[in-house]
Amino acid sequence: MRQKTGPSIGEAQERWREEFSGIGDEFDRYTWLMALGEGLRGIPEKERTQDLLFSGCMSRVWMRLEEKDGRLSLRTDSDTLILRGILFLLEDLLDERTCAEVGSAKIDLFREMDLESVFNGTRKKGMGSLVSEIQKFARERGDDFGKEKRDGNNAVKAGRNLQGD
Amino acid sequence: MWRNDFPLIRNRQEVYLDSAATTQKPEAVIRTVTDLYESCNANVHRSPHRLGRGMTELYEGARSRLSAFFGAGDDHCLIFTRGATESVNLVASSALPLLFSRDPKRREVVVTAAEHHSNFVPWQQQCRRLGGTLKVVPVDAEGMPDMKAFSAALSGRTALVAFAHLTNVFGRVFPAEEMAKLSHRSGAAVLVDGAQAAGHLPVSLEELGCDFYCASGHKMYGPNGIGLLFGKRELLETMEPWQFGGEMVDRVYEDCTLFAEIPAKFEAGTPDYIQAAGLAAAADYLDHLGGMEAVAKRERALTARLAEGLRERKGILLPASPEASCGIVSFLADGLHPFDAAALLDAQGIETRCGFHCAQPLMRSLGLSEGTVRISLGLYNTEEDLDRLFAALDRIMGRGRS
Repeated sequence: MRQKTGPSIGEAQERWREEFSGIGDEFDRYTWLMALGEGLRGIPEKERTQDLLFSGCMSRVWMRLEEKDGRLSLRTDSDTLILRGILFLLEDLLDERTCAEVGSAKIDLFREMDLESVFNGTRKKGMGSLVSEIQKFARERGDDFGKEKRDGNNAVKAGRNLQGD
Repeated sequence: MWRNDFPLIRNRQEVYLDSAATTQKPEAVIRTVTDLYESCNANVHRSPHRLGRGMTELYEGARSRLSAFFGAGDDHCLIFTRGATESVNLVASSALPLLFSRDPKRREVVVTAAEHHSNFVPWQQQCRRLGGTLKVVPVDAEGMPDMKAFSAALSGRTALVAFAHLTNVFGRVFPAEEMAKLSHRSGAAVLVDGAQAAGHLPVSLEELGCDFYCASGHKMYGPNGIGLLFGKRELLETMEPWQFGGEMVDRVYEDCTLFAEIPAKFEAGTPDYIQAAGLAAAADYLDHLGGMEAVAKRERALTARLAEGLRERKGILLPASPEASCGIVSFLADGLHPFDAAALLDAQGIETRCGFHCAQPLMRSLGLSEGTVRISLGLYNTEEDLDRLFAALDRIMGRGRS
């Protein structure tokens, strides 16, 4: 698995924010997002099961969350290019980060992106729910992973004790 | 020019092409509503004071005015509702049990696959509750009902037939008179959904010959929150009320209630009298323009221009012929989800609608799994609006290609 080094979530958001705000025309902002969306890995159609679906009326979003060695694995997809662009940003920010980092991050990039037709009231709430669900997942897995690590250290300690340290 | 009569249209740069969702309001309607709140507002009926009597006169005057506007004869009584959706629900709740009980063999309701959810789901759900059967007549690739299948669906088991006058996805005018005649011949009652038609076509209930006709004020340049249900007196008088409370009663005892006569029987609670008067003002405005014949004529010319412009653009896919539509056209942009296309249009100030347009059975039957982008014209749209639409479409289809 690719190890995440480099900018923090906050720094990555700032970078995207700067790039986005440099695009003045709303049309060009959408085409920028759509170009990003073409780079989304996506989820194969046969794997887009009902339990992965975060649906809206006008477009659909699928999301698969997994934890691997304390890191979040985030894969998403949508049937619309603009949303794929948003999801590309989300994956760039969060995929392969530690669950602890994801769970505690302040993710406000989408709140600040002024894309009214993408982020109407319902959809803003939808994006908010998506991010909340990811962070909740990460926090729970982050806690579990931390606990396993601590239990593992204790076992090592116990082992040493058993060996008469 | 008509567009100057509409403050919201005058005051904005955007091109509004979503009149099928809701129409904008002319100054005459807005002023009527404001003036009434400022000078006449009082609860109606049984009022001992001048203000109440005046408002009652305006409210009942609106009822007469709108009856005339829709060419309703003495056979029909107008009930004010909140909109076409409520009108259909009223008939489904009150008329269907009556029809089922009149003839226990008649347990079927026939609708078409092109119906808006508001003229589909109430029948489906009421059939479920009452042990009835919903029969759905298919439509062809042009969104028109298969008339052979329609005739075949009618029988001595049909209680009621419900269909649109003008459909909301492809703007098709159904052969409503013919469908009503065939339905009546089979002994069924007929409801025609005029929610879209009322803002696009002249309507004559005497000629249509249906038992029920519904419309929404906000889709015919009137205020929001007010709708119409025309019903044959004979049926309305026999139907049980569906909502109870003030206004719709004559005498209330501890153990029983005697209900008022129609239309009050179906207008429980304080009516939306100001909006009713506002809707009458919309009818006056439309007649002032030359009536719905003049509206339809102008719209035909604009729709022809729209159809031409869409046809000559490579990459614009037309699931149904726009030439045959009545001011409402659906399209797809090749390679783009309708949501993306509508967002890119919106980014250029062109306001359309995307999705299933509350017509999921239709979309499913035509294989339109992502829905469509819908353009719907209004009184205020012009050739310049269409030119801007076409330029916006060209920019979308040409994006990223130099």
